[in-house]
Amino acid sequence: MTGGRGAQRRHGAQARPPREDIMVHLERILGVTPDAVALLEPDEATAAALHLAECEARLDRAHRHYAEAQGVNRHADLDHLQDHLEDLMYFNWIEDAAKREAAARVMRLERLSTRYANHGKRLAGRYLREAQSRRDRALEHYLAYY
Amino acid sequence: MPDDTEKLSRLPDPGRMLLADESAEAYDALLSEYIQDLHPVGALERRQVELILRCDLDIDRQLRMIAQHLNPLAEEVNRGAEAVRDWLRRSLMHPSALEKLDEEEGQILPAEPPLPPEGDGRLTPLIARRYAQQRELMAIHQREVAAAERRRRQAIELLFKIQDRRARGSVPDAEVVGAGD
Repeated sequence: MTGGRGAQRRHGAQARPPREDIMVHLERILGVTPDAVALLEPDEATAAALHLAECEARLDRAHRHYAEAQGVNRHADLDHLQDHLEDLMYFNWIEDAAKREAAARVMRLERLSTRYANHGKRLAGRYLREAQSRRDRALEHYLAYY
Repeated sequence: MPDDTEKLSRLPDPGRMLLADESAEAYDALLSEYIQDLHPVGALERRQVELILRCDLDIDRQLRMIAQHLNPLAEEVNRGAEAVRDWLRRSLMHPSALEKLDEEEGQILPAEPPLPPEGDGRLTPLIARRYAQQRELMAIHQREVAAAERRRRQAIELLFKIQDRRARGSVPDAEVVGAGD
């Protein structure tokens, strides 16, 4: 459900962006399509531009994740579990004690669903702040060669 | 410094950063107004202007969400409570009434949240109650407003820094007069 420790860095909001996204930013920063050979052994200015382009792509990804998280007020997996428990309450062959337990758990999941959604919002805000901070540092570094 | 040409497409597709109640057209219109105001030259400055715009959108979005969460007339959705209430109600109903209920439920459309009347002081206690019920969420949105305002200040500062460097770069090198006399 949570994806485990470091999951965001591998394939989530903090993962390395696709190469094409970085290259679009790099082309914009440099004003020309970069030479593949120059990228193999970049000089200091190109290396700074490359780092800035990667930070820009990371910032876009973090911002997209941040915007998506704003509209989420419930946790989808917990809602799915809640639906299953609700189904249990309607089955005729299940005894009343089990139904009461299912009802109690439905109510408990309600609170958890909101809490996880809020947790997701907080994390998205933190990822955006981190990405922005890295990008600003990369920009200041690049300005030395600008 | 790279030339600022129109062929450079905007980055990234703003539709990916917007919510359902925001439009890419309005984003583009605002961006062109910001560009007219701040006179960016080159891709770096244009990007900086776009980041300032995004901060403004974030602030506006967070304030809108706070207002929506505090709407005293909006119904509070509690799926768990509704499920349990529905189950209990159905377990107490007569089979014929239950059949009628199933038919009616398919026809009911979800109601839109009503807009609160403007400037009605009698709603203050209801708003305060909603605020107390959603303290955690309110704290998150308020912190995000503060963070977006901080990002905005930094983005403007960086834009001025880039523009300052550009302006200084256009000044011809000083000639040392009288050196070696």
